[in-house]
Amino acid sequence: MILQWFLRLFTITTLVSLFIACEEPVDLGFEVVESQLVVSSTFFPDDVVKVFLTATQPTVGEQSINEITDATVTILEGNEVKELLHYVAGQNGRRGSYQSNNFRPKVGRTYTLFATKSGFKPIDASSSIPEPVQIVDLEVLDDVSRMTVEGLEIFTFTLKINYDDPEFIDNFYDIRISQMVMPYFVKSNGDTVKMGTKAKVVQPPIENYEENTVTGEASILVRDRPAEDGLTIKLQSRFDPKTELLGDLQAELRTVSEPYFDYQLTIQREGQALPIGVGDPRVSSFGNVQQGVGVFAGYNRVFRTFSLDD
Amino acid sequence: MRRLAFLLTLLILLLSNTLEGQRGLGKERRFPLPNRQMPLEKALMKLTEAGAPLSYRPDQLPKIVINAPGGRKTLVGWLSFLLKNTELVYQQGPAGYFIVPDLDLFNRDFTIHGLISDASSGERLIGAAIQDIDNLGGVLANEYGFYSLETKGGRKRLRLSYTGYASKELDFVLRSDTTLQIGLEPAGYLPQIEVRASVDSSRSLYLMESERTMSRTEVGLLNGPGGEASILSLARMLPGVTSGADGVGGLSIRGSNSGHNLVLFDGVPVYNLNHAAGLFSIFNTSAIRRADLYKDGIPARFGGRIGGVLDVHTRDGNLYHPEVSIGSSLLSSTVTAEGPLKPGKSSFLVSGRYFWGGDLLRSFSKRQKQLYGRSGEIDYAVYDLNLKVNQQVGEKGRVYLSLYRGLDHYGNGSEKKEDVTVLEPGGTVLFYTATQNRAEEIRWGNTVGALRYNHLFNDRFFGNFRLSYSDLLVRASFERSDSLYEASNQSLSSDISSGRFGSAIKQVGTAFDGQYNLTRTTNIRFGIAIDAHRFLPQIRSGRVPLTQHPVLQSLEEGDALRSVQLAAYGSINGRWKGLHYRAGLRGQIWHNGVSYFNLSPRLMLAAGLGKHGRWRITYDQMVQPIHLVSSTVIGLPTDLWVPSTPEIAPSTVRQVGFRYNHDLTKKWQLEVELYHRDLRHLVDYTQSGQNNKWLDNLSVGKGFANGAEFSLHYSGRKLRGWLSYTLAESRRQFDEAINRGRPFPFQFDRRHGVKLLATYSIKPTINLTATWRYGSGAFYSLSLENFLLADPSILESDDDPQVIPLVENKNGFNLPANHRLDINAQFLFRSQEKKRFQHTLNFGVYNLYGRHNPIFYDLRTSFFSRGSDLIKDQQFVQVFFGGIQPTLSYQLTFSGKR
Repeated sequence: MILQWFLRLFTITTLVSLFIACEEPVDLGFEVVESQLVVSSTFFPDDVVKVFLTATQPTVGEQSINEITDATVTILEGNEVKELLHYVAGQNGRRGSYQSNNFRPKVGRTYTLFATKSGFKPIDASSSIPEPVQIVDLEVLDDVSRMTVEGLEIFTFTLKINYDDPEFIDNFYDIRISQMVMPYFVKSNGDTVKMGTKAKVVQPPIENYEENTVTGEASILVRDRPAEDGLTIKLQSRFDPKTELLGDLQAELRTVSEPYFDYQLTIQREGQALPIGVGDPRVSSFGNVQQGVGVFAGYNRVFRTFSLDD
Repeated sequence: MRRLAFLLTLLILLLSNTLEGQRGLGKERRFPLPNRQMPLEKALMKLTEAGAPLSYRPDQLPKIVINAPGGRKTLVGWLSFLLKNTELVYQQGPAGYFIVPDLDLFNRDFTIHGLISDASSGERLIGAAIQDIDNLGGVLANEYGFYSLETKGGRKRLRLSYTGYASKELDFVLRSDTTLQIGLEPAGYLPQIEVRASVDSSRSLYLMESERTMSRTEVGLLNGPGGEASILSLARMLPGVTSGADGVGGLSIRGSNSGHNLVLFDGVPVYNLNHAAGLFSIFNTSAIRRADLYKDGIPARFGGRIGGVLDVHTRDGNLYHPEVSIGSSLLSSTVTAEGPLKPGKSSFLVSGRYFWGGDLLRSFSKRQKQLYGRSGEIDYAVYDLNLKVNQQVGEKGRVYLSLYRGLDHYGNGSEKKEDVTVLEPGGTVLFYTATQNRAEEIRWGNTVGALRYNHLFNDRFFGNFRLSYSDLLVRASFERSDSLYEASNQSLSSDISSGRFGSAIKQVGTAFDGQYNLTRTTNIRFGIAIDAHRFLPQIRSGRVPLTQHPVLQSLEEGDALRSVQLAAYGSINGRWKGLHYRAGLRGQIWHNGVSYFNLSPRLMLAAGLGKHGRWRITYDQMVQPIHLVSSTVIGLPTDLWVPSTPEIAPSTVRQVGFRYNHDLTKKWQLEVELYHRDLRHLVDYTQSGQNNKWLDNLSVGKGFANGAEFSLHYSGRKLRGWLSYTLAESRRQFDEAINRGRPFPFQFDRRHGVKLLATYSIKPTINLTATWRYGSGAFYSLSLENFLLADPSILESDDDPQVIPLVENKNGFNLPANHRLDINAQFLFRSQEKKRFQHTLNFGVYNLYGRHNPIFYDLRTSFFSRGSDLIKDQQFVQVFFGGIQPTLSYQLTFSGKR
């Protein structure tokens, strides 16, 4: 009896010790000596340049959004100062950003972002906007299926997209497909009130992933063109007919710079499938920001609208 | 005159008759000898007294005793019988027969060959030593127990020895090629932690032996977690062999990844050798005979990997009487049955192991998680089964069938919810619920099979034919989600990531290995092997719920990669004056859409230095066409095996090594080893690759490893062991996709390592063992800072910024030093009344001083309110495998016959 009790105790102790994967808080004894500025900015032609500026913080301890609101942020082209960006506070809880008033970037020109703030090392990053690449073919193949799941209307279809990828140059693309919908509601008197059109994410369905692409929530990253006739993507669009009116689909082909491509690739894989401890953390000091972290990258884009009848 | 003629004739007749009579006495006359033992000289005297025309010199006769059968034989018949075990021959002369030394015998070469086995069980003794005492030569039995010794004729004294067995001496006269099948008796219960060649006169035989041998007796003296003995526990006590904390992460030999090691199970490669992420191995100690570990001096018959070699040999089963063992540790139970199918001719062995703590683990993990404020449980089930059958075929052959099947299933789910209330300045109360969900499940299974046929072609030529099969099937899924829900506004922010991994590898092959003795000091080994592989690595991961990833079984079989590998090798092993050498060459062709041809030369030189020293130099070149790529720090079976392709060439290594041994005294020996390894075409996961297309996720690089290993060995009557210190460095460098092309330390680059192992035999049935190991901390990629970046994949780029951990250098953080002390006491006893029952009890303490050696770090998030703010707080936690733990194991063995 006593022997059985001892054996049980030993076994339980062993199992608990081994397989419960003991853990305890630990002070690694490191100290973050110098925080770095973090830049997040992507820009495209003839549009306001927005730069989000924050700072790195220690992994342990209280986590907060360390927004930088009093930095000096400048856009240069070569040695010429194009504009000193001004800070615009965010609304409705969104983050603020540094924005250009008059400056609008152009295709093919290399711009440098320069930012300083006391207590941080000054940072700089350079990028340009590539030439746009046109969509030459956009076709919905003949396998559109429709189903209703818990009130949601779901369309599954295959989209073939081809674009004029130049040869002998490495090009990077970000393909975004959106479903335009118009939210509405019905008033008590029976009037229908329509609100502004908005774009909803169209995602690849769960059954299939296209070769040579990375599928994020709304973004398909492609290097060059995988085949002469472009690529074929299986997609799924969803809308709620009780609250939304179905519009057209929109294809946006972004021609992006390599920093943009690398950054987005890393972000989309950042949702790594393994727990942070067990999975080997990846070196994330990517980006094209000198003495800082983040990305300042240009891109170009073209749009095409299509419907499932196309 | 007539009378004279008559007398003369009569005289002639008489003389003729006499001569005739004498000749007739040698040919036809039979002489008696009594049926009893007597000295040789006395037997000859009796023959002479009986009238045999026999001459000899008594001083030339050996002082041996003859067991005369009695009866009557011709003189020739008696001489053939009496002199057959002497160095004498008989010659016929005019006056009869003369016995003289056979001078020609000493100049003729003969071969003694055969098999050496355990006299009580029939198990072949691999590496047993056969020494020619007078000529100071000798050989070692090969991995099948076969030996062949060429020597001069005449009186021979042979000594046969093997660790753990009583030595045997044979004294006989060698007059022809002789087959000697020898059985050695186990030497009782003497403890033997002797992972090196013994320090005695046979040490010259071991000059060319580059392996470190581990037997199951030695393994049984070391108790692992829960009392589970494992051959890997002993291997990790050798200098130059490292792993993660508590064995997690597999075996790293001299700066190689665990996937660089060739692990053989009866000659068949095994793709995963771990249960429970490395806590214990798939090798059931009850089924194992011995394992040989090669760090350098890799024989040409081994190939296909660029790290070390772990060659595991299973037991054949007792050839003479049945035996059943039942045992249990705190983790698993084992049942082993073995015995003859036909005594002396065929036998079987079956051994099964089952982890029986699953139910207990579920219920107690549930309670333990509740203590941490979580719900969920851990489930773990494992079993493995070994089967071996062997059968003698004719006089010169034996066939073996070995099978292994093991399966692990691990599941871990946990959910934690925290409710936080925040009072806003306007008086609004916000109710937050933070939910963390973690779920992981892994199933992995190994199957290994080998059908082998040994054949003794003649006294010099031995061959082994083999058909082999090996597979590894892994299915894993993970999901991790963190969400923050605010009830008043019904707002939800969440982050989810999940994935499925699958790896299916199959290898089928056939091979032939031959060994031929050219001369008394030179032998050659050669062989050929052809293997077909099939790989199906699959990854699906992303920031979506697990249900959105297709189940792996539904994916296309057409994605499988197939390859063929053809390898051939030859090596010559010999001696020139005092210098021993082994030179080999291995050629390999790998075909998978493209063909890769590689040559791998091997060279080893060794010699004695003075009376007490021995040195050895090795050069090894090896190639590895299949790669193990890991995305985890703890070497989970989710790591993928992928083949070389037209885009990815095989990995290669060039290694040089030097070793010096010096006998300080009869009991103390010093050993110094130096090495340098140059690794090329290494393959690893890129850190910014695309999901779901594993081929695009790989990066190619190079590395090196340098080290110096110092060991002091002690072999006393009761106390044995060793103390070693290793100074080592190993680094890697890949392309821009990994660590931005900068070099970084290898994960298990433990700069300093100290290992102490001591066994003390209080008496033959009570043995105490202590092991202490210290290693510099492993390297780890740790994020000490994080930052916010908008997620551009969301349409509105300034919404939902993500927190991204900043990792500036791969493996840039050094974990704390890893050290642990384990002790074990083993008791062996056999009941006086029931001598057929043997009890073996091990109990001890694992991690005696409760060191918390971290395996990895994780981040724990908690929320609380401060005023009107919701504060998120993070803290590092270290994950480790428990503190001080008891170990206990018991085994009962019943033998069918004594």
